[in-house]
Amino acid sequence: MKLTIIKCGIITLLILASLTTCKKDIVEDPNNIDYTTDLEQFEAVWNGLNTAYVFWSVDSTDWDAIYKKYHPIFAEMEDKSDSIWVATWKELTSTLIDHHMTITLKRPSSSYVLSINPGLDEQKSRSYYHERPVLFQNVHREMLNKWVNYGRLSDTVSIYHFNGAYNGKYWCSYSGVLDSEIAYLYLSGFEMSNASMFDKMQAIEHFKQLVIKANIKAAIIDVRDNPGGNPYDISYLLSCFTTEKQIQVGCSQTKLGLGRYDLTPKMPCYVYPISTGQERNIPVIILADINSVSAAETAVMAIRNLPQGYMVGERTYGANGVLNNDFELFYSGTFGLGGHGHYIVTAKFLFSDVDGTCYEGRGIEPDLECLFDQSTWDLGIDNQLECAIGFAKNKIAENGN
Amino acid sequence: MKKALLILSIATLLSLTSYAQWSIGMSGGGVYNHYDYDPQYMEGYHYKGKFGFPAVDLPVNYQFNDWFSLSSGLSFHKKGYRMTGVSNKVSDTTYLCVVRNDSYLALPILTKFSLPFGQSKLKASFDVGGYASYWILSNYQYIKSISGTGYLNCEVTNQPKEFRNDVDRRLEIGIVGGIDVEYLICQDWTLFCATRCFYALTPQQKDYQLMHFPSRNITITGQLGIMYNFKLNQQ
Repeated sequence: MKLTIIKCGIITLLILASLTTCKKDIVEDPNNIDYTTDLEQFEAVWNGLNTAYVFWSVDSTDWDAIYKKYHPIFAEMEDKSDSIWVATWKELTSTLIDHHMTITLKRPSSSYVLSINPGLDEQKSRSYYHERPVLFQNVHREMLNKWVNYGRLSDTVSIYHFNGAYNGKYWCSYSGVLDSEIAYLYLSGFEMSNASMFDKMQAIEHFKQLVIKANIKAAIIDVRDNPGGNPYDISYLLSCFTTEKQIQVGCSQTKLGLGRYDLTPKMPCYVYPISTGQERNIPVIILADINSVSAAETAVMAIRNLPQGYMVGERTYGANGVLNNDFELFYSGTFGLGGHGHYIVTAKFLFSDVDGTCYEGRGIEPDLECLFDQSTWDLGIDNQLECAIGFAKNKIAENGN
Repeated sequence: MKKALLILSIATLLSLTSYAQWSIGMSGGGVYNHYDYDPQYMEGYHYKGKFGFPAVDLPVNYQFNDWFSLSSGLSFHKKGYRMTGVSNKVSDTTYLCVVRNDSYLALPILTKFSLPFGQSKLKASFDVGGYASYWILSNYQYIKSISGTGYLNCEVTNQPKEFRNDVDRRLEIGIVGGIDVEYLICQDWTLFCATRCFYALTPQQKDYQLMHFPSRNITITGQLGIMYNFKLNQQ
């Protein structure tokens, strides 16, 4: 009797255990998928984003609903034109908030190549959207040179050179003293950590020398039209404003598994200013606009964490996630192969502010909003810089100087 | 109806007993949790089991006769996992380390079948039953992440996991089996050691997305404890 009961118990245990070990689905590595149809391509990209996209916890897109809606559409896509195929892809990715994202697809049936930037489309929909002023650096520099002639700007250093490694763009930095009491630095990108830039640091070094002068009562760092670069550069900028050995710029989260919400908790990210021994606790205003992207936005977050750090200008672009092309690290971010059926550029880390607020897809709001005015710009007046100067002077007055 | 049947069954069992006693006690020990998770193509992510302390039980036992009893009581188990991310593409090949602790409060119900060793004070039991437990707390004891982008290198300790109602399945239901060895010290006190395997039938996450691969806990406990015996009736 006893043995019969024991045997029944063991058998029941084994049956229940075997029932729970069934697995149905398999997810393939989104970097190594071959396909020949539009439907297979849709499944590959959908699955890739399902597991490698880091923003699901802050992105309101219903990715399952996208699958249910578009799977049957792609099942019938083979006979449709390339324009319908393009429109369908644009529609289904339009709400994704990753503003670093670029989706490049080669249609299996026709080899037609499509490139989508959902972030750029969102940026253009904003009421205050403005194009990057043509040759911003050139026009801006000419304006600043006029200020030198008027006597408003003095003690200037300007570096302007073509940097092939920097997206084939000209790189510009400009420093000087505004109205005898404000140190000013304009940076067109964050590239100082790049070895090729070490001999182009004069304007930045000059700015740091200006900040420690007694007559300087505030500083403005201008990152308008700055597409980002290496965020490590931010330590250079902060080193003259703090004696802290580390400044938290925000928090990052990385993937811990396949699930959309399988992320680490928010982990603090620090930059480490190199002490000059002559730090100044003065108001620091970062001037940013809708074309301030990525590391430029990280700089905004870092400067706002200084005791007297402020932001003036426009709500920024909203691409705070960090890019890194090595998919095998953390199994997130950019996947696919260039020239292959799909290549998706997307951020590897979910990045948020010190207080945990994620600005991806919407940008950072300024402490004082001052929108770009094309009409005054055309007259040679930089209304946003004037706004930042006014803000700095108010802060100087509040400090009793 | 089911409730009435249950009451009737228990009453029948009670009426059949010529020897019955209640026991209550306490035991403590450790836990080994196997984190059953299939990371698919994430071959560089290695999820490993984790030892956890303490495992604490407050067992209540009702013995019907010398070979059959029912056991229940509250249990606290510290489960969790260790995970490493490994790649040969970085100089420090282990670029991610994670240790997570998941604390559960469990209520097992066990049927115990005892095998006394002759007339000796030593007795072995085979236990089988089910359990329900609630995931009360979770924290990341340690995370180290080396990303190659300097300012994103992080090392943190004791970060709480924030539960999401739509994702985390905090009620765990499963089956449990084990072996106890008991030694009757005197008429009132019994010393025992027990090992049990808690096999979760429910995953740790709800079915919140398509193509979902949730994890599951398989937990082995080893404990040493003592029971106080109340004799109810002797005929």
